[in-house]
Amino acid sequence: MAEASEVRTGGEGAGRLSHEGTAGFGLGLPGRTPPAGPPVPPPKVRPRPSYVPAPPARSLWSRAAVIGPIAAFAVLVVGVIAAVTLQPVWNFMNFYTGVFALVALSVSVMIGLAAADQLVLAPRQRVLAQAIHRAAAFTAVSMLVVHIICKVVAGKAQLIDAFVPFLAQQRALAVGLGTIAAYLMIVVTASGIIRARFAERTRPWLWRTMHGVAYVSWPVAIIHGLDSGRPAAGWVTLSYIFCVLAVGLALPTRLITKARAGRQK
Amino acid sequence: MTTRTTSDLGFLQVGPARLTRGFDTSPRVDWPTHLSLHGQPQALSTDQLVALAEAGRLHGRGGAAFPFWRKVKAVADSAIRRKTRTIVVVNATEGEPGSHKDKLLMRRAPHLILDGAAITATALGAKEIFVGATEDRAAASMEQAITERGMDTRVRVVRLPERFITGESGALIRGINGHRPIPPGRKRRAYESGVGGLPTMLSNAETYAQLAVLASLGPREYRSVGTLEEPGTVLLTVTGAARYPAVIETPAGAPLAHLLDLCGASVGEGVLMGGYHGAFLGRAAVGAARVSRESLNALGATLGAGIIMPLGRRTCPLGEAARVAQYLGAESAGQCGPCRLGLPDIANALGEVVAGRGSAAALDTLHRAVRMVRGRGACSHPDGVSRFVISAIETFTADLAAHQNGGGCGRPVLGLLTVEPNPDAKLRLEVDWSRCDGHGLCADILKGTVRMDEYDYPVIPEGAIPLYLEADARKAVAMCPGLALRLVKRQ
Repeated sequence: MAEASEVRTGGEGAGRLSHEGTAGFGLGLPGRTPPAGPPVPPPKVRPRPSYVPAPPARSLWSRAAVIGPIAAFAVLVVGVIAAVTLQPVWNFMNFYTGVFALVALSVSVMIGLAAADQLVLAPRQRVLAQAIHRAAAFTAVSMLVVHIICKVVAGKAQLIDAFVPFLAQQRALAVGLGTIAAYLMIVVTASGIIRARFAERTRPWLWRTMHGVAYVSWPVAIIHGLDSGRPAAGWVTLSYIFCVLAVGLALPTRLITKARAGRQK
Repeated sequence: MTTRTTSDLGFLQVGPARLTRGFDTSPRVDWPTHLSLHGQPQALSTDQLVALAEAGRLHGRGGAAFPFWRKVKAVADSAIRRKTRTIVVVNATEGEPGSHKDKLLMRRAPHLILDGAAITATALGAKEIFVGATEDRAAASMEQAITERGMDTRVRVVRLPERFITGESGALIRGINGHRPIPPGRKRRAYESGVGGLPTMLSNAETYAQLAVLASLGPREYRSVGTLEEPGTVLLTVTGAARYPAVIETPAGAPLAHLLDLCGASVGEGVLMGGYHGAFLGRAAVGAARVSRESLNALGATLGAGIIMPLGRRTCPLGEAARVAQYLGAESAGQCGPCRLGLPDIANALGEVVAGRGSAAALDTLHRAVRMVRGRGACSHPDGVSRFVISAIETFTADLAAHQNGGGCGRPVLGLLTVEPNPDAKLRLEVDWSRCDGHGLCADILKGTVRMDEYDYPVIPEGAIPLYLEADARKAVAMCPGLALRLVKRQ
């Protein structure tokens, strides 16, 4: 009770609660306890949004499948505009997107192989490696699209060369290998995007075969990259050879260890 | 194992009918009937309200039992300091599956709640009253009552999804403000900044109804029943193994065993008091217990929101507790790390103990996880779950021994402690064991939910994946090197 008496004392200079005893809630009969102060009209009540549960969040991958193509298209549009107006941008797109596509593809293949393997990386790093694998693959395909468009626009290849191999007037073989590598890259990427669906299907080997096409696409792309354009520097050629040899060793190692693990279990 | 609705419950009254006055003659006390029973409430000043609430020893009835007058004072002081107006919130969300008293009050005596809220709002000069509700019929009855007394412009019912944590005060305020009703990451005091940023007086629906009764009877009459420190009546919900589950109005301090008898409940292994953040009373303690905060706290339990769930003899008590722990883990909002990772760990460990798999290690894990989550979240959910689980282990020692020696207690889990899994969580994880090579990526992505066993294979939870984990679960499916993991519809 002692504490109750400490409650603010109404009018002694201390602040006063505004609208104390408001008549807005229909209390007090006339002639009985009168509400303190004159009756107040109800305050303007702004409509408040009441909570509506959101639909369950879509998965990262399905969102990426929607946002990805939109973003790629936007980048493409901006890129074409920039390329037409800015010489350095055009030079980069014309001479380097192919290089970047090949480097990104190489990174994707090698990291993908490492991510699939149980020997080298711990589970946590393998999760990270898978993320990098996907990002690199996405970069490679984006660069590939720009590369093809630029080469057609620059007149280095005909439009038909982008779709049908070995018809080019110059270096028909080298350019044609590029066309084939591009098709295979698209198959591999598409299989990567629909991967989760194979968890529910009965044929995981079908997915592995589709995705394994990468091991064909990549060397073909390297030959195309080294042979069809400007002559490559010695160290570049050596680096690619080294990468191919490393993958050539790692892949059988993985298949053998996996088969052995499978027999043990 | 079906979920129980308020309509399935009976209603009992021991001693004088106060909140439940008129329930014997009318299914719903409408405005004219209410006026004839309780009279027209009178306006009070803030000082008068504080004095009245203190004289009646009115405490919050939502579980925390905070003194009502102190809350009023805090809101008033805050409003004066900030020179703002105030908001009154009636918390009738009642997310606990074992509680039905507020729903019953809303359905049958909505005007009593509104009286109390109107007295408070008048004293505090509030701008608006908000009533947070989850159940359709209760909300409809409340809306009808608001129309009956012509308060539509100043009182609003806000419908929220019925989840365990919706009733947390911060979550409710977020819900009223139009956000997702989950507890805010940092504690915000409603009396400082609540609905629309205004000082907000938030209390449980029964508390306002009790205030209305107190105002109508006067402190002297109000204190004629109940105990000295806890005068008046309390509303209880008795379910569990009770043959006649019911909401009971009884004077505080009534013997618990007597009330259980009235509901046709045998104590059996024990009684859960205070809901799923509460504690169990063993058989010996039940004999000594009275339904007052003082008596129950002395016995290591709590009255909470008046939830009483006797277990009886035919169900496995630890199995029941494990089932509830699983549910509580899934009800986490998933925003605080210790709670998101710790609660599934606790639930899984208790599940292992019940199944008799590696009991000693599982108990160890359980105690470790309890230490880890306690006091480490935006709300008291992890603390409440810890109390519940530890109490189960300490109360059912005989059952624990039977499960630890393998074999178990031989009783089924009847689901007497009802759970209401989120209907939106429809997916569960499934492993194709012929494809799984134990790479362990799923355990890394779904930490706390999937773990690797000693053979390096994943242990996948059986229940539905909580909504907040669905994105992670999809990622785990997409990243499984063996294409062995998948999400399937829960049957």
